[in-house]
Amino acid sequence: MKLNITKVLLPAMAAAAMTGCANHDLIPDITEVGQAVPTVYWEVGSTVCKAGESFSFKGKYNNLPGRTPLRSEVWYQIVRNDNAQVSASLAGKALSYTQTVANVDTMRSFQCHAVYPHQEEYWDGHQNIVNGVVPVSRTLSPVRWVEPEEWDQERFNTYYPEGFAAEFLAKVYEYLTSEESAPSYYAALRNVYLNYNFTNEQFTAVGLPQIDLSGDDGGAGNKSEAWFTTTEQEPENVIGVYFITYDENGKTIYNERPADYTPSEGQVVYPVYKAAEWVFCRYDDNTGTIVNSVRNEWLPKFRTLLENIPFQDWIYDSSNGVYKVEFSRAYDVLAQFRSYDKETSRLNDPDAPEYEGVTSPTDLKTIAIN
Amino acid sequence: MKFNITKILAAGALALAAVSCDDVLVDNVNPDAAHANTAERGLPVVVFYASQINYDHAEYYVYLSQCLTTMNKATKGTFPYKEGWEFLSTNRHPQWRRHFYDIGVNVNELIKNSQELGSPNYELIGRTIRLLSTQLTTDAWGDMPRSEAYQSNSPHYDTQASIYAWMLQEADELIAMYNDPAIVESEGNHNITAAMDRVYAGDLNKWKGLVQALKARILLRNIPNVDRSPAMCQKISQAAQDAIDTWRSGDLLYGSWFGNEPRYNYVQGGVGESACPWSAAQPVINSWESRANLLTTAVPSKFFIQDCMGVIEPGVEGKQGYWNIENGYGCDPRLMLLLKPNDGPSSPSSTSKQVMIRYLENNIGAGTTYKQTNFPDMYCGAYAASTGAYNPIFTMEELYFIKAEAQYWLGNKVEACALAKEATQWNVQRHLDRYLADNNGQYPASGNKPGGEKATERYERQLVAFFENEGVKRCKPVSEIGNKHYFFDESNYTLSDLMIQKYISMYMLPEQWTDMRRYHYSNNRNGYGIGDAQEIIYPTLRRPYNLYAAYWIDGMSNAEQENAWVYRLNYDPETEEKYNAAELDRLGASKNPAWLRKPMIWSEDYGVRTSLTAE
Repeated sequence: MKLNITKVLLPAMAAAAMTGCANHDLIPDITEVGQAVPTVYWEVGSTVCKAGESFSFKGKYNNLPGRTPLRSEVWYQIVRNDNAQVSASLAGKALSYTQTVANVDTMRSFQCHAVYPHQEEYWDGHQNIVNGVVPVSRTLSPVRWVEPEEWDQERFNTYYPEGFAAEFLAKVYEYLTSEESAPSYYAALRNVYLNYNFTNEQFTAVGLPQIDLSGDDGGAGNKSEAWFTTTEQEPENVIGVYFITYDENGKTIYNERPADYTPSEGQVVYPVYKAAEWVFCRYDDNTGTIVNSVRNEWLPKFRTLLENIPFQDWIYDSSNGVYKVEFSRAYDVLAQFRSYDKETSRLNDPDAPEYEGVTSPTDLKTIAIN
Repeated sequence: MKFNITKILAAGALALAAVSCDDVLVDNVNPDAAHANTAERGLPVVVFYASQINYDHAEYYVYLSQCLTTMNKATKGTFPYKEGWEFLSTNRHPQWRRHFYDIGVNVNELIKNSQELGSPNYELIGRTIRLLSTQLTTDAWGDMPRSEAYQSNSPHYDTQASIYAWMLQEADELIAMYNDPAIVESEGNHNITAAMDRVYAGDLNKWKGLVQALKARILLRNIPNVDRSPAMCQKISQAAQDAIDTWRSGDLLYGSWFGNEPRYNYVQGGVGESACPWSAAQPVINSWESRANLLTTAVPSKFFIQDCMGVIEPGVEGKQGYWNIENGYGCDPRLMLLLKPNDGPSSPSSTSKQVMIRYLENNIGAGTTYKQTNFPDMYCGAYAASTGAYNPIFTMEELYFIKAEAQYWLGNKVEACALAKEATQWNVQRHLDRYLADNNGQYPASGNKPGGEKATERYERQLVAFFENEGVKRCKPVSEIGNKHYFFDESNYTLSDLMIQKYISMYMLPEQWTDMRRYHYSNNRNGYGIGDAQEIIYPTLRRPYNLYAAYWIDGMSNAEQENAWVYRLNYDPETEEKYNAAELDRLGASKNPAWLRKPMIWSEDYGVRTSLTAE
């Protein structure tokens, strides 16, 4: 094929036209490529630090040509994280309820905590590098209050928000004594009745029978006998029958009738068994078992009884001899590295002191204080 | 500039070389992932899935029919059909994808290939299996895509009545094609080998029997709620007889009685498809797409063992479920064939050990006394005892029971009884054949372990006690043991007798649950009487315990609860709720527990509709 010199030269000239060098860079002549910016970067030695000690860092900064570096600084704010919880224990595993509250607060706003005046020896040929440490106050030590063996009301009041205990109690009462949830927590309510050292005055005040509490077991055996139920589906244990209807809201109504009740046509009745006066002990055809629940009219009385129990007794784990509280308070430092030069401030504000211009801040580093 | 034609042509040729079209695009597809199929490769897949979809449905239904249960009493969980019927949280129902993808897509491809090849035998078999799959699928869900299926991701749902009309038309059309020599003897028909068709090795006359059988099954849906007129009963009876005649003609694969019923044989199957789905190998087809049989955690129900099969000494502690040297484990000889009793505590309060048949009420829970190993081993019987067992696509017994049911409604109770009795005798024989094959020809004895000669003699006496209600030597007639009921009393034959025997014979088959739905789960508790005589079909049946109250109990009167049963499955959440939600909303089927209770068109109350096919 014949070599066409014109065709070869034209592309070469076009390519050459688009080529430049440091001295003859064509691009800035025809485009706006943006302004040069100072660069500031840093890294911290660790993301955890003990209270009362310091954390290390390596800061790097480059000022713009013609600017005079003044100094670099480390600023930080302090954030407090509180986590508090208590767990119900008095009812055993039959009531598993834990109330939790978490709070995050900024305790101190940004303040400067370390200053490093610029030094010539920071320059490593490419950028300024400063290696430094920043102190952290001893007062930022974490606090933990976990499962104490002794109750400390003052600490509780200090650490837990106001109303926390009342809210906890309201929830527990609701679980154990509201018509909606009490059937599910029947065993829990019985556990409280058996396990807590109620007095006979408290029992009689709500209409419950007196119990001989003088035994070595504190009357637990006698209370267990008082709160009895039927476990075997034997005919001699049947004291009545019931059938189910629903109110206008779809709520289940258990209609009790005597054992010799004759059901109407299409009506299906199931046995009611012997049990303590306040217990509705019935055969449940859906589960195929005997099911117990506290009768609705007794639920307000039990609530009154439960109100005799102080807050701390609800959370006392008698098996392990501890109160089921767990409080933790920890602080985080949110730190930033800043570099200053003489000129920046005056560019923006001619009246500003010459040393007040921050070149550029870095991103925030979170350091957990332990 | 000089016009250079050579350069232009060269550039055009280069461009053409980089261009493709549909016909040659395949050349650029990954050769390890086939995008199309051939007829000879497609057929084995479709035939295999015909067996698999029967299993998919039966695996659910054996629990929904209250035949099996588990030791648990969960209200909700991964397996709603054997728990508390909380279906709406289900992730996927395998039967849906099996029909619309595994069978539907592959049959479409098979039909296309068959027509291109001029080999109509492929098309006939493919359409027959599609008919089977459609019947199973619509009887699980009712309305579903058919006429617009595969046209989009969100096709319109056809009504169940229109699907029934299509199925009957398709059955007639297929039968006509099977009867047309120009088609079945077409010179273009490829040779279909046993490896390609593991049911019939391409024998079209045998496949025709399946269409006839399906037609009989579809027509039976008229009874008892739609059309139970003498004319319809005659039609049903004749349809069943047609299938029986077809399967008993020509060379017979499985003897004179079972004839050529369709069995998918797993022996020598390929990797992953070599074990019967009901077997202890618990094969899972296509991983997440299928459910393995969980007979390892299954427990036979009280309804099945005590009420239907008459286990020995029910309710008598220390005797219930024990081996009796003369009467075995109870009335029905299948108590010795469908399960293997295990050792365990003789009662919850006793530490002494006893081999006995243990069973539970459905979803009532086993308590803490018993372990799974105390309950019977369910890997027994014709379909589950061996990895090399077969899975029936349709059974001869079902045809007999279809005919028996039609005869019953015609008023011919004696004939109905005789048909049911014969079907039951051969169902017992079906399972016995498996037992004898696995136990060197020895009959079952204590613990359902193989015994000697005396075991054979005792077993024969138990057959007489069960089928004739006669005592032989010390073997008592069934009216004196177990549930004390003789199921083949022709002078006092009941619909309940018939349907309970069909129920047992349909063990591990989809029709077991379908029949219950047709008869409205009729039991003493819901008092749903059938027919003019208001017969109760499954007297002792009851709903499972621990049902999910929000769907099945709350706000319902006692009568409403007793009539609240599962009549259909919720649409496959993984596909329909994601891609076709508008159709579900239109039907009122979206996340609606009441939808589960909505009857099929064939299980509405008698008189609501007079035709299966009319809208």
